[in-house]
Amino acid sequence: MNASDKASNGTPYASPYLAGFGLGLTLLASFWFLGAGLGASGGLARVTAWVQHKVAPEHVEKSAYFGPWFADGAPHVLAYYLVFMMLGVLIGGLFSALIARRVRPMVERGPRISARGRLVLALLGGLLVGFASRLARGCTSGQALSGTALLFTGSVVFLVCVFAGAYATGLLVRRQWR
Amino acid sequence: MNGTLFALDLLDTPFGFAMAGLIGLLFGFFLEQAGFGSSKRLTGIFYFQDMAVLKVMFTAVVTAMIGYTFLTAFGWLKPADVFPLETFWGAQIVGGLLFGAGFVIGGWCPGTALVGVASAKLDAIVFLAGATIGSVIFSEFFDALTPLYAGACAGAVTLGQSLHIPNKLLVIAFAGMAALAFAGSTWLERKFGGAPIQPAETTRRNRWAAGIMIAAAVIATVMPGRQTTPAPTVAPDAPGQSQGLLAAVAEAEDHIEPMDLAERLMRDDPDLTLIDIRPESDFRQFSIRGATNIPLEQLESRAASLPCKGTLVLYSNGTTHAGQAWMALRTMGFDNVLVLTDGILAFWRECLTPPSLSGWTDESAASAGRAALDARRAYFIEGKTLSKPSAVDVSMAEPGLDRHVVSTAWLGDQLGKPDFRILDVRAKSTSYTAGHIPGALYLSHESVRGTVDGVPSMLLPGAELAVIFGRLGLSPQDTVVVYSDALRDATLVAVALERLGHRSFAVLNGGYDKWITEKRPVAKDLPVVKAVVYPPPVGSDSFTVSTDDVAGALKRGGVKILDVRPPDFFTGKKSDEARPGRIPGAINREFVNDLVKGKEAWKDIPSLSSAYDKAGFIPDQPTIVHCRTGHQASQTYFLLKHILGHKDVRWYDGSWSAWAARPDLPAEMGEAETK
Repeated sequence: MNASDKASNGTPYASPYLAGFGLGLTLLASFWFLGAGLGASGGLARVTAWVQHKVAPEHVEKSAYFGPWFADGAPHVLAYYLVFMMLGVLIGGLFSALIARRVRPMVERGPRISARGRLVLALLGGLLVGFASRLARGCTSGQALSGTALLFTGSVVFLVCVFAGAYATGLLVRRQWR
Repeated sequence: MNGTLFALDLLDTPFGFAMAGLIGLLFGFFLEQAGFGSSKRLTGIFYFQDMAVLKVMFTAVVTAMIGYTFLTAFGWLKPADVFPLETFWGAQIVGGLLFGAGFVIGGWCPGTALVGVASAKLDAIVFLAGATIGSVIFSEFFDALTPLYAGACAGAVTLGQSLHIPNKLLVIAFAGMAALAFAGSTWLERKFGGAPIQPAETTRRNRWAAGIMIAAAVIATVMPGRQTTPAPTVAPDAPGQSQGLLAAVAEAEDHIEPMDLAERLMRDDPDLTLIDIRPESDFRQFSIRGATNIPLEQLESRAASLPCKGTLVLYSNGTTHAGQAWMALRTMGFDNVLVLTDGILAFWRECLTPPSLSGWTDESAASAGRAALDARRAYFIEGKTLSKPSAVDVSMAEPGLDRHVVSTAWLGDQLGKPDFRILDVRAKSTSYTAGHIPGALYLSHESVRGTVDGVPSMLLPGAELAVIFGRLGLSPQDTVVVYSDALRDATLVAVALERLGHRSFAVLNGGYDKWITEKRPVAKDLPVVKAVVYPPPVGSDSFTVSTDDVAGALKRGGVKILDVRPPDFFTGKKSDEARPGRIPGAINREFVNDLVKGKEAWKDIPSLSSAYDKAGFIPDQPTIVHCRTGHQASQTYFLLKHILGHKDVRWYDGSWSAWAARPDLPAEMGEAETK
């Protein structure tokens, strides 16, 4: 497969510059109207805390990180703007994938790895990303994209470290993709 | 737009959710359009085969950066209205490296995985499941992670501040880097990804676009008036050593005195963050200018939004709740928290109360203090939404009556409405306890008067009236209807409200007697009220004149003086004061002449209007109204100003008792000359 902007299935992807421009305007609108950038991991953490609270309410209420979201008088754990942004991303993504005919159940992987192996790595990678997003107070959306656009030092540092970490690890898992 | 949802604290409201959802829709749409619903495409960048991630990210970052620069330059967006992201070196370096590893191993990041889920990619679903486990692990081990998570904090610094170069240069640099990165990416894709050489036309188009991007960056940064930093909260490099809690308490470093706070607020100290931890309702009534409201019970859940640098000051009404909050924040790793000594009540008492109330006696100190006080009051009280509410006036209009007078029928319909207060101002509290209009609060009209500057029966200064009305739980937004068994009692209290700058007040025409005669409901309970801080007015009011003012006006001429005492006092036949008589040239019209005979209700407006016209008091005529002590005159003053709409009516509160006590001022006796 080559690097042309062509999906393996469905219509070709949009020009990365056009998509990036649209994304940039979306981010700008977020600054202007919300007064905050885009975010994905924040909403995910809320949903995670909500699920964990369903399973073990007393334990979560005592925990130092998720606990305060369940304090008396605090708004509902899901009454948080990023939870709704997350829903928006799902719907917006689905809409775009549908019109581009790119909705197809599959496990995306390189030719040299089994589907099961790919899913194990996806779980492991997700675990690292979920943890790191909480530690760094944001993910590629909230820190790298939004924070860098505002030139916040920590966000730029995070962005650089993401790439450093990814390139350093990339060779180890090359088999997964190529 | 009047500020962002974040700045207006509306982000976590249904409207905020709807807006965030809409933004999310676009976010998801463009991510998918970019091809980020594919993990293979996303990770292509790490093998130099598909550089879409870099192109999309760089384009988006530079677009938003330039757009933000334009918005702030035009003043359409204030940097302070955007949520600042703080730098935590350890957390962001370690977090970034781990995130990067997770990204290439898992093939997704949280936002793109959502789009992957929308595209039915099973690996995206598994990835997100992993991310929830990772979040739980973080939460479970948060205590051990706190030093890394909250340590090495540099505040909300921007790259320009960290590197000591202007941020505007960085905007141009980012645009330049983006252009180079795009060219490099295209070359890499050809070399490693086997991409075909792009048509010359594409290259030409891309060069044009890059040129426009850089030009836009340059234009944006040279726009005048750009604020370069989004709300910096940087403190000088202080060692991160947190002192022991007990040591901090012992050294009283955990408190800030009201005067110190006032001074720092007034010089707009950027290192200072002021948090009001009282309930929202209290905050709305009165708060210290510059404070953000985070009710105590929400403090922990919103602690992440508090700055770790600079000074964080907490206050409540007293000290207890703020002390609790202080303890909670200290244990969460904030070592920059102070409590306002004795809370907002002390702040109000020490910083905003006039010297006469603080017991200052030394005159020179008092006058120096007065100037400082005026400055503080101007800063903390003037211009507050409280003194000039922008909300639409509560309509008190009804046919035939001005909005400052209401009828019993109208009042009957308003009972039980929120923000609606009724004051019973009859002289004796026993009249009130025996029965009053349901919901009415009691305030003897005598308690708004006292000896001021040696003159008895003067309406108290605004600051003292604010205390009295605050104790009744009255807030500036309330609509207040005053009644008594004499109309003049009600107008006196209404004038007190006018002195406070109260927005919406009226007197009940006919008073309590009419209410009873009409067999309207009566209550005997005592409503429970909570004392509040009623913001004291700045300066004196605009309608009260002093004895010297009246003497000056008399000399200058052009002002008509209306004496509303009974004729016997006007002519000097009777006198209770230092000497009999009247102010020379005054015109007599006894205040009871305005009322329906035997009732505490005004006559109809047309007949009152023509009566005053005939006596020479047309609406444009500058008029000073007085009686013996100012009490009866309050009724006539209220009538002329608020019902007949006279434009220049002044109330001489000192009245004949103050005038008579000044032997240097002239007096007249006998019948008035008829002209």
